[in-house]
Amino acid sequence: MTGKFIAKNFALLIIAGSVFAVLAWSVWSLPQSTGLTFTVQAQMERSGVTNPVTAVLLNFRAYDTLLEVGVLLLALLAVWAFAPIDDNYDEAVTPPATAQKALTAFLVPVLLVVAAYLLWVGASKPGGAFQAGALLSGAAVLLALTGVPYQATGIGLRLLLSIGLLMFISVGLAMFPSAFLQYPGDWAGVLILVIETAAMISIGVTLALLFYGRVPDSQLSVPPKQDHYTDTDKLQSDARDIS
Amino acid sequence: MLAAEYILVLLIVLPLTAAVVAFLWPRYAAPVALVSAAAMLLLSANLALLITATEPIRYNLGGWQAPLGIALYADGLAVLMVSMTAIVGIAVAAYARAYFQPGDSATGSRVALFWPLWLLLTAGLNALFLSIDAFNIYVTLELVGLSAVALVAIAQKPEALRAAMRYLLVSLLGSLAYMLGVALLYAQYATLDLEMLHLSMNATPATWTALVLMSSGLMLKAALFPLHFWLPPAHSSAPAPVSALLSALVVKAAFYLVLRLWLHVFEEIVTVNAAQLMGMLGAGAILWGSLQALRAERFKLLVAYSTVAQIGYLFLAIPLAQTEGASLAAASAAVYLALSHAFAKAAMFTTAGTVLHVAGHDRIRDMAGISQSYPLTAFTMGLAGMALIGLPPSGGFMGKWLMLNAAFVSGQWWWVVVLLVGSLLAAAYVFRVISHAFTHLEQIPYQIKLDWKLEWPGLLLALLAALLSILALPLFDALNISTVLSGTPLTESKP
Amino acid sequence: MSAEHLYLLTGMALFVMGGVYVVSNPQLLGKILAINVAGSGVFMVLITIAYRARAEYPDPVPQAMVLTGIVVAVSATAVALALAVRVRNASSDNDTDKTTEE
Repeated sequence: MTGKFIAKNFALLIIAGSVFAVLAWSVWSLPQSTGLTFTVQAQMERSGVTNPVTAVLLNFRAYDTLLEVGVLLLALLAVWAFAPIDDNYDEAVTPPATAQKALTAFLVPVLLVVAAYLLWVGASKPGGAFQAGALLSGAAVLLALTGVPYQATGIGLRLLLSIGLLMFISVGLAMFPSAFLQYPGDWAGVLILVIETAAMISIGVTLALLFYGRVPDSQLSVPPKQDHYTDTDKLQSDARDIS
Repeated sequence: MLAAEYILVLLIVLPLTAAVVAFLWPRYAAPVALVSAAAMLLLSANLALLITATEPIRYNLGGWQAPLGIALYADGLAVLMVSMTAIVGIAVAAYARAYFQPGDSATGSRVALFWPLWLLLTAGLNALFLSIDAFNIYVTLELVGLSAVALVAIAQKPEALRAAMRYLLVSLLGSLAYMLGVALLYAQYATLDLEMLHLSMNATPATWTALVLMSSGLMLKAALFPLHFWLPPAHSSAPAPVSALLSALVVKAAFYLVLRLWLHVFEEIVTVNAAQLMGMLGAGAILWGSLQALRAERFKLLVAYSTVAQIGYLFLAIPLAQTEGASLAAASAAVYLALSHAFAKAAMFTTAGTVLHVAGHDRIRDMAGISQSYPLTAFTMGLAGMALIGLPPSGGFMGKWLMLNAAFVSGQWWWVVVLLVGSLLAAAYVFRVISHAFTHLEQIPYQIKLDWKLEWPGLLLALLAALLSILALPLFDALNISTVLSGTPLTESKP
Repeated sequence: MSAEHLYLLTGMALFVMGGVYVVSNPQLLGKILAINVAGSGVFMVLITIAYRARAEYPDPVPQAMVLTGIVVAVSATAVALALAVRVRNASSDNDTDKTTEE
């Protein structure tokens, strides 16, 4: 234990302690408040669902959820921007054991059914698109770890990834000239389910691809070459890392 | 002409949808992006015209009133920020079209992803500028932050990846601090709407801590001294179009939020000392950033440190706005400087990118001959430098003049010293670059003909920055950014 | 001190510990995990605020905030981890061992 080590950690302790003290002081005298519970409760009938959290997420504050689905897609694009290129989406590092294969064979259908259940029950109990999507991606990861290769080709995959955001925006624009993200008439419950289904698919696929962490070469199509240079020497010098 | 509320929604939904379209069809990603950029330019111009005719616009999403729902809000300040995003956006998009060549060894294979990422960045920025809900702002901050990190990392170089990693960690820490502040505010006031918060604001411990937490998070994201350490590596190792976007727009978003919080939402409880502290940090940024810019060997590193310095100027507005008579001048000064810097810095980074393209390096000492071979680029450098120093009739001049005005009216003469020293240092590092670039060589070393898209976007941006005083005066009066100080309607306004 | 205060303080403590660890520990993976710990602290504070509502059901708005926050945190962690892997691979290509952040 060198002196520098002790000094640095002592300083950190002091800093951490004082920050914590300030934070503790701030919560000590918070007023007892019911927050927005009653405000939400008053509007529950018009929300189309009976679970208050789902109502907040997909009706009252649906805009936040829309952006959040966008953030999830953005995360995948971000990973694809620098991840290693790998066309062989196979996660089985060692051949899977029999027990693993049996367990996967049992679990994957169960996961699919539970995911569908969570999606459906989200209207009245805790559940919904994100939870269901997470289970779907878990099933995909299990399959991958057991050596089921993943076909990640072409526009089909990209559609699956985008369907959540696209459906959300489309439904949001349903009443567009007069309102955005307002559900027409009594359709709130149905439309919420539609959005959640599309979102579940997108979330599941996105999380599964985030787990792989690599990008298939087929997803990085290079645009056709544009002839911007009149100097052929420059084209050769492009081989150097200049940007 | 569309009604203002529709434009607010379109400004966010259009780039989001375009991002998905660009992702689905990479072959058409660039044209889709450019068309969206043009559309956003038109939309923001339309919005500006509408806002001059009416009061600020508030639009409740989903038909739910605050505090239950989320609202979009556009006053003069928000509209100016959105317009800034649109103008810089289309210029940088045109530049990027020519800059990213498929044959590039670095970004080459990932070029297709640049466009969806850029569109998502734009959607996030517009969503941030137009939002008036504290938690919604957190989500938009993440949207902006993640896309910015991805755009830095798209260069694939080791130093860009390391810089992106540091940027990501800093950004996440800042977002978490911000979210904790929002949680405290909600616990205290049971609302997330910024205007409702402003009306119910009391000086309680939780409120104070929330202000400190949110400001710390935003200061990290705005790279205010001493939390600026992540910016120079990130902005100097990113590809030039990305650096332009980051320096011009992303750091301004964080500052815009600080401005709203300090000058409006928390107005009642901000103390003079706290505001002075912010100003001190701004002064530190100006001095430190300018000194480091003087020492920089590489052009892009110099421009990145210049951003650190220029951000400091913006934060000087906070203490200056605390005095009654000076607050409008201070707020206007900040906006002028923000706009001018956005245009000038984006232009400067495009010239840096061009220098890299033609010379293979961006060492300042070896930049001789640029003005001979590429007079447009050199002219752009000169104009942008002029705006950064603050020579008339640039926006920088107007901003600094307004700030001096505010300093004298409020009796805070010490900021005058900071402004003068800062301008001198800026002149020093700008002239350092200009003198090297304008050195004539006997033998012209550069043979490459440049695509017009590599020179004209920067030139137009620089012209805009250099003439901003003339062009903007009538617009500023009309847009009446004093509403940022006075408040916003809680009910939806009907046009 | 009530149970709520305890939960709030725990959440704050997690946030502070995570934050301090991010700035002081040189290991990249450690920083990423610390960010997650700090995030969990903030979520805990939010859930406690929801619990404090003491009405027919806990306040749904902070709960929705936490759900959104978790999704954002997961997205950001995924990007951070992928970037960390890439940074390490890029560094080892250059023959230096850089699992620590510069």
